[in-house]
Amino acid sequence: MYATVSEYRTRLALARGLSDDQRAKAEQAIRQAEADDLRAGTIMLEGTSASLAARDEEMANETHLLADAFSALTAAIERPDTDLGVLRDAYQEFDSRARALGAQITSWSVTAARLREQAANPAQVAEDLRAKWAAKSVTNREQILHLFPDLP
Amino acid sequence: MPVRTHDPDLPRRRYEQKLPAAWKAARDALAKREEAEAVVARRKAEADAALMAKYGMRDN
Repeated sequence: MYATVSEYRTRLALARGLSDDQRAKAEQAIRQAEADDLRAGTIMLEGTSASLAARDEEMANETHLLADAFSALTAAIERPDTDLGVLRDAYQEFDSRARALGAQITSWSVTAARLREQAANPAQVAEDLRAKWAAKSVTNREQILHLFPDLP
Repeated sequence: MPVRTHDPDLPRRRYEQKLPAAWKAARDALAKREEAEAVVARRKAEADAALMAKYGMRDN
């Protein structure tokens, strides 16, 4: 499962002639990265169901608030005694928020569909994590090179 | 892992059902106000020009 990491660990220990202390630090960095990913994956799966619903509600509420803000703005615009310049700026701000919210909701629907699919297939999530750990060896290598900059 | 029963289209539906009308109303109101203010400004300029023409004043 950790073929790439193990390979690099061996290469560090044997080919680079690291001291015991350096090797321990390198291995600690690798273990920490793996543990972080596992923890994040576990938390994600445990929280997916609740967080999906919460995020959906949050965006639906934001829509309500924004629509109410537009209504209040409309009422202000329709009063001839209110300053048009201020109202124009306020409209631009709400307009930007409405467009951003639309983009956010579009993006969220894609993300949420993926997360729902993941929550329904924990075995696939574990498989994806294993693939991520393999790719993580690149990060680990960078971390280790940062720890030991004198390595060739 | 069981997924809590939830309407996954809630954000999009709320956005599409509730926001466009309020958004458009504000935009229309703003356009109407701007048009009205432009008319007032134009009439004022016309009145000023007419006064200047009548009394032979120049616009400095």
